[in-house]
Amino acid sequence: MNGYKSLKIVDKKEWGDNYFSLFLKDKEISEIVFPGNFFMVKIPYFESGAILPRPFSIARVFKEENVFELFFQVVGKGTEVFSKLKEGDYLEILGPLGNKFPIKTEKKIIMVAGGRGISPFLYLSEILKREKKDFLLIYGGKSEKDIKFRHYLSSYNTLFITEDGSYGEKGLVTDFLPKGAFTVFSCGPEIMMEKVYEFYKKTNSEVFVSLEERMACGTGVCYGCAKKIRRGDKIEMVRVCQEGPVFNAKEVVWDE
Amino acid sequence: MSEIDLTTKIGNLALKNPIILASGTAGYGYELEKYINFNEIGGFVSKGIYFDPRKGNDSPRIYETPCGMLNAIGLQGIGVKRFRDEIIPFWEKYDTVFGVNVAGETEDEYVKVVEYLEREKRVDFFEINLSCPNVHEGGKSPSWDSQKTFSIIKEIKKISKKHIMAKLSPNVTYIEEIAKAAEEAGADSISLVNTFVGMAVDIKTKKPQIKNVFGGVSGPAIKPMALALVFKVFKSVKIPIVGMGGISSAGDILEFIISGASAIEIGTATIVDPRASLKMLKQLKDLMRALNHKNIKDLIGSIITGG
Repeated sequence: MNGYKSLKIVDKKEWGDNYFSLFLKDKEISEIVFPGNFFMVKIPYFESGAILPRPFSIARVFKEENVFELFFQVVGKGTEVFSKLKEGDYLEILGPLGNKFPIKTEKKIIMVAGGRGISPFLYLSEILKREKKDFLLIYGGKSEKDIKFRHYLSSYNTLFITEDGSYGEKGLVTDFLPKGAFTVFSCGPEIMMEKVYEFYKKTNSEVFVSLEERMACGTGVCYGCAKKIRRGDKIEMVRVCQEGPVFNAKEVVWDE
Repeated sequence: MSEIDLTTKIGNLALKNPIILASGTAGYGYELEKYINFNEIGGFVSKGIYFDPRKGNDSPRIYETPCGMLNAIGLQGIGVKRFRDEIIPFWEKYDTVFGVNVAGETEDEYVKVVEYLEREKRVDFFEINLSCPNVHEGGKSPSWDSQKTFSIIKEIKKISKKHIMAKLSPNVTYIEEIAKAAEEAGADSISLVNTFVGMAVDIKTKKPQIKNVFGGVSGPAIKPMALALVFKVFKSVKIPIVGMGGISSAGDILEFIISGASAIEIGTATIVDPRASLKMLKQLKDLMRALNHKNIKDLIGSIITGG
């Protein structure tokens, strides 16, 4: 039976500016995980009275070593506990969960990432390059502090953007979207994803976004992570953990 | 090593062990199928079912609180028809006690849901969720009022031959009175507690953390209060009790059983870990052995006070 696995942290990277990566080793997960997928990771219980596991998107995968990476920014109590873990500590982890970015397309793929929303596009860039697909990654942040993986991404077709111009181009990612018909993937702040969708909705492009909502179970039992999604002519509350996290942006009800 | 007997009874319901998955924390069942074998658990209660499908509340619906969580899902559900056509057949293949959590916006709706599912053989019992806001009563829940509790259970008993379990809210001044009303109306058992009303505020935006403003608090944080209410009800009624509220270890299970519960429900623990119930089942056997207990039935209500 499936369930939480206890995995050792084989490496940890402190990126600075409250960004961290934890590296875990597991053959099965490294083989099957795909960008879009996420994991639920338990918080060591004694730390903080926080009982709920936290969702983490897959970042990079190092297949030869059976190692995969979780990348996060400290934003609250849970991520703070994770940031204090050390190499050799164990994490309880469930997954991979959720759906995948749909890469079967004839169109050029544009990936638009904001801040820590870069996670799924790290491994996806590698996959797309291996499959010889035409793609562009647009990766933006507030300042150069928010732009990580610079060396890794230099092997892929990446456009870096910061709001203050301290690294790459100056502006918002949405100022640099290429015109045309593409398959667009986006992950990051909801307002950014909405603007990406607005930009492309009248073109022949299809936009897929990875939605975020507070999540409790990750397994579909609690209905806590539901978002408003259009299904036919109805609007339904749909679970991000089960039916997502990747949704066609035209189904998403953005008016909140 | 001698075999530990974990079988228990809630009136006419015979359970393999005292662990039941609580309504609203285990979906309809199929969500958990890849994580647990339902044949190993004592029982299962479905998500609350209204007569018609329900959209539920807007997000955010959940918020973590110290040692617990707040939720206001708003009883999103598929309605009785889809429940009968899609969910009941799923349960045919499992040998465990299966209950339907019955919800209603009006007294009549509770009765309609029970009527609709009464002939379904696979349904072993109805857990009546008395905590639903009543639309004719300005959102008051019948569980706050012994007369409303009495009349809903009474009306359901008139049309149902199945085991009726009345699920009580802890948000009342004198729970013994409500429990007695359910017993007098003919309830076969009582389950308690549902969640405690709570809220949390985002101090930056000054907005409640839950869209619905109020939510239900669950998890280990509520265990001591839940246990006290279970014991109070145990002392005031004769029908069996199913205890719940923040149970997250085998020790917690025994505390509820010693305090009067014939069985227990696991709720938030399943949200934290889909296999929590089975992990606790294994722990429970080990703990019984360590404490030299052979039969869990001997422990029901075995609490020693005074002296």
